[in-house]
Amino acid sequence: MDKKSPQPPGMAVWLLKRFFPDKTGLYTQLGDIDEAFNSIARKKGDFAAQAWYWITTVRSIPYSIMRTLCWSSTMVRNYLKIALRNIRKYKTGSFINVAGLSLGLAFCVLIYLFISDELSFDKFHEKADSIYSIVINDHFYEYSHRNGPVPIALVLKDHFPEIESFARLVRVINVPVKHNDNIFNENIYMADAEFLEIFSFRPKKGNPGAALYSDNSVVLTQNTANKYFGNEDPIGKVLFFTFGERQKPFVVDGIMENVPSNSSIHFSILINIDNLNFISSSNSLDDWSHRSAQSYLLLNKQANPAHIENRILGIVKPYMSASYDIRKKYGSLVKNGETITYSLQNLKDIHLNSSNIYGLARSDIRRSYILAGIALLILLIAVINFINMSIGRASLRAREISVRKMLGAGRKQLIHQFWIESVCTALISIILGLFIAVLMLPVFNTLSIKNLTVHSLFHLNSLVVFLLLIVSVGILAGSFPALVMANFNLTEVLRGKFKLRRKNLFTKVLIVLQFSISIFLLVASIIMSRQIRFLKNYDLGFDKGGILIVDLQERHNTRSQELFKLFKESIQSHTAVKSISGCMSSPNRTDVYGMIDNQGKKIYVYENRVHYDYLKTMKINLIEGRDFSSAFSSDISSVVVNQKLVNVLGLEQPIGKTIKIGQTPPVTIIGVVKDFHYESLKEEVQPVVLNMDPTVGLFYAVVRISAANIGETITYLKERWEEIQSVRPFEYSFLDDDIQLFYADENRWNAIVGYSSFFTILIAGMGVFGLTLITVNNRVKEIGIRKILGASLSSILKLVTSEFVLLVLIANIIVWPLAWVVMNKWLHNFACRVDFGVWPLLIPGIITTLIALLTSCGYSLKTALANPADSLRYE
Amino acid sequence: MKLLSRTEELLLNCILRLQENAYAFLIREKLKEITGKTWAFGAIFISLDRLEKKGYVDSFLGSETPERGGRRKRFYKVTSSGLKTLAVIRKIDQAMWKDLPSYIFDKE
Repeated sequence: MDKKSPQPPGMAVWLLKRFFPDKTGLYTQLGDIDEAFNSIARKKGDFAAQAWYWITTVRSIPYSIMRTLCWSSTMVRNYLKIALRNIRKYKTGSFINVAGLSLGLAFCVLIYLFISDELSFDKFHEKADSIYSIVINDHFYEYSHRNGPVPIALVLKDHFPEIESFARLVRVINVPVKHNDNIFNENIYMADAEFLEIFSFRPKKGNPGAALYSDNSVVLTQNTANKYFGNEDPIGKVLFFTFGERQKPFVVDGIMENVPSNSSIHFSILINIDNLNFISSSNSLDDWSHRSAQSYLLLNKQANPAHIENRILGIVKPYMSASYDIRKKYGSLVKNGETITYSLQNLKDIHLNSSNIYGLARSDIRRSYILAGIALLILLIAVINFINMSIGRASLRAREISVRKMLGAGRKQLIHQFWIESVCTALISIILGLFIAVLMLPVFNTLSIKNLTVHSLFHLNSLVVFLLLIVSVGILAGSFPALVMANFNLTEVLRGKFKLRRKNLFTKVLIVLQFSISIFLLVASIIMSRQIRFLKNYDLGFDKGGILIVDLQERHNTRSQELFKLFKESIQSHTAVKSISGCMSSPNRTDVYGMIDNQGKKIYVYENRVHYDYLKTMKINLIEGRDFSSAFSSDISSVVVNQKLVNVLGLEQPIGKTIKIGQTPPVTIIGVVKDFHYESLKEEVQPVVLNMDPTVGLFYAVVRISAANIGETITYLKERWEEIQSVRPFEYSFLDDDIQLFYADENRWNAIVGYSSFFTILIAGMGVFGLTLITVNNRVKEIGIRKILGASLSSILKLVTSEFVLLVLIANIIVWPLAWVVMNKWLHNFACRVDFGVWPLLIPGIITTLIALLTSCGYSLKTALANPADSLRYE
Repeated sequence: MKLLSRTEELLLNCILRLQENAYAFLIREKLKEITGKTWAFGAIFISLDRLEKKGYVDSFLGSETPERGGRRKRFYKVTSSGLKTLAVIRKIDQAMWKDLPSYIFDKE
C-alpha cells in the first residue's frame, strides 16, 4: 500500500458502537462496514467514502432504535399490566393514593395557571420587547410612579432617533358618560393615536386605529359598548361626556376587543389626547408642571435603553426649572442634588417588577412563590402517603419481588417497574386532579382575583408541564419504595424471615413531616383569622357603623363645595339623616399628605379638608378646644389636630398655637381630638390635621343615617341626588365596607391558607388510615392471639393507635415554636396586633391528635372486635 | 411455525447462495444484485441478529483482514430449521404464483 489507508469518521464509529453494541468487543459488524468503506475509498476517493460512512451510519441507526423500542415496549406493557393489577388489588390503598395525589395535583394545576397568567402579563404585545415605560423616581418622597409631564415623550423623541414612536396615556377619572338614559361614571384614557399601533390590543369593529386620530371620535371596548348600547350596533352612535361644567359629544367610531386580563394597561374608553385642551382651560399639552401622563416609548432594534435613560434628566431639566426651583428652595434636593430622576422600564417587567412604582396595577412575585410553595407542600404530603403505603405494603409484595429477582430481574428492572406503578397512579391522579381543578376554579378565581379559564389548561405548554408533573411525582414517589424493595435479601424473604427494620424510622419521620405541615398551616390560618377578627372589632377612634360615604364625583374646588351644599340642604331635613358633613378624603379613598418642617425634621401629616360637623358625624372624640363652628369666620385658617401631632411636635399648650404645613400660610390649632385610625391598622396612627381650607374641594359627603330602614333612606338620598343634578349617577358606599377593603388581601390569604390546611389534614388523615389498614392487616393473627390470651379491647386499640398519636404529638411540638415565630413575624405587618395566646397552637394540636386517633381507631376497632377464631383461621 | 418476513427470506436466500462466504458485507452486495436496491447495514445487522435468535442461522467468526480495519468476519450458515422454513416459503411462493397468468402485469 503506497498510501495510508483511509480512516472512517470517529464520531460515526462511536455512534455505531453505541447503537450496535457487541458484548464480545469484536465489533464484526463494524468490520463489514469498514470493508465497504475501503472499497468505496479506493474507487471514489476518501472524501466520498467518508460521506458514505456517515450516510450509512445515519441510515442504520433507526433500525437499532426500532429494535430497542420493540423490546422495551414489551417490557413496559408487562410493567403496566402488573401496575394496574396492583392498583386494582389494593383498592383502599390506591384510593388513598389517588385521592391525595389528585388533590395535590389539582392545587398544582391551579397554581400553575396562576403563575403562568402572572408571567404572561403584557407579553401578548408583538412589540413588547421594544416598548418602554418612563418611570419618574421621586427621591424626596421615596417612591416612583409612571405619571409624568405630558410633553416629556414629545421632547425625548426629538432628541433620540432611536425612539420610533411614543404613546401617552392620560387617565381622567369619574367622567359622567351619557347615552339616552344610561349614565355611568367612567375612567377614560386620553391617548395618542399611536397608542393602538404600538400596543397590540385587538380591534373588533369599525376602525379604532383611525378613530383615535380624530378629536371627536371615541373608541370603546366591547363590554363598554354593550353597557351603553346593548345589542345595537354602536358604530356611529353618540356619547356625551361631561368634563367639569362642559359637555362634549363623541361619535363611536371603533370597538376594541375587551382588554385581556393579563394586560397591565386597562382601558375601557379611549379618546384622542388633544381633548386635554378641551377639559382644562390652560394648554395642558404643553404643561410641564402637572404630572398626569403615562408615557410609553417604542424603541427601534438598535436602541440602547440605558443610554437614553441616562440622558433623560439632562434633556428634561430645563423645562422643569419652575418646579425644580420650588423644590430647591424647599431644600428637598436629594440624590446628587436631584430630587427627581427618570428611568425606563420594559413593558414586560411592569407587572412583576414594580414593587415601588405606582401608576399601574401590579403584582408581587412573592405571591406566586408562596402559592407555589403551598401547592408543593400539599403535593409533598400526598407523595409521602404514597411512599409510606408502598413501603408498608412491601412485606406483602416481598415474595413477588423475590420471585422476579430469582427469574433474573435486575435492580434496574425492578426500579422501572415501581416507577411505572407510581407514574400510573400519578397519571390517574392528574386526570382526576384536572377535574377537581376545574371544579375549584371559581373559588380559586375569587381568592386570587384572577379570571382564569378552563381553556388555558388545553395548551401545549400546560400539557408539557402536566407530563413533567406526572413523571416527577411518579419518580419521586416510586424511587424510595423501589430502592427498598430492590435491596431485599432474596433468601431471607423466601424463607419467610422478611422484616423491614429501617423503614419504620423513615416512615415515622415522613408522618411527622406530613403532620408538621398540616399543623403549621392550621395554626397559621387560625391566627390569621383571629387577627382579622381583631382588626374588624378594633376601636378605630370613631364610629364606623351607619355611615354612608357619597362620592360627589366633582373634583373642582368651588363646584364641589356648591354641590355639597346643595346635597346637604336637600337631605338634612329627613329624619333618618342624623348628621351630615363633607370631606376631601375618606378612609380607602383619596389621601392627601402635607409636611411640617419641625426644626429640620420632616413630619408627614395627613391633611383632610372637612366641613362643619365632621367630628360629630364621625363620632370622633374631642379632647381639648372646640370643633369648627360657623360662629367663627376665622375657622377657615384654623385646624383641628390629633393627639399624635401634639405629641410629635411636643406642644404643651396646643390650643392657639400656629403651625405651618408645607408652603401654605400658618394655621391656628383650635382643637385636639383623640387619635383615630383613618388608615389600615397595618399602619401606626400618623399626625392628622383637619382643616376647612376653602380653596380645597369637598369630594365626599359623609352621612350618618339611622339603622332602621337603610334601604329606604338610600333610595331617598338617591332621589334627592338626582333632583339636584342630572349628569352624575348616585355613588355611595358604607364606611364600614371601605374600611374592610383594607384587609381584603389578608382575608384572601386567610381563606387560601384555611383551604390548604383543610386539604393537608384531609390527605394526612387518609394516609394514617391507610397505614393503619396495612399495619392491622399484617398483625391480624397477632391481635387474634392477644385476644385469646385475654387482652382487652382498649389495649389492642392502644397497640395500633399509640404510635400514630405519638408521632402527631411530636409533630405538634416541633411545629409550635416554628409557627409561633413565623406568625409573630407576620403579625408585625400590623401596627395593631392580636395577642393570640396559646389556643391557636393548642387547638390544631387537639384537632390533629383526634384525627390521628379516630382514623387509626376506625379500622383497628373492626379487627379488635372480630372473633379471634376467624382471624386465626384465615389461612 | 411462523412465516418468515420478506427481508428474512431474502437474507436466508443470499446466505445459501454465498455458501462459505456469507458475511454481512457480501450479503449486502448479493442483496443489491437481487433486489437492485442499496440496503442499509443496520437493516441487515438487525435482521441477521433476529434470524440467529430464532435459530434459522448459525454464525461463527472468521479471520481478520486489514481491509476490515483489523476486525474479524462473522460468517453465517443456514441451519436445518432455517432450511425447512425456507422450503415451506418456497412452496408457498410457487403455489401463490402458479395459476396467475403473467399477461396481467403487461397491461400496466
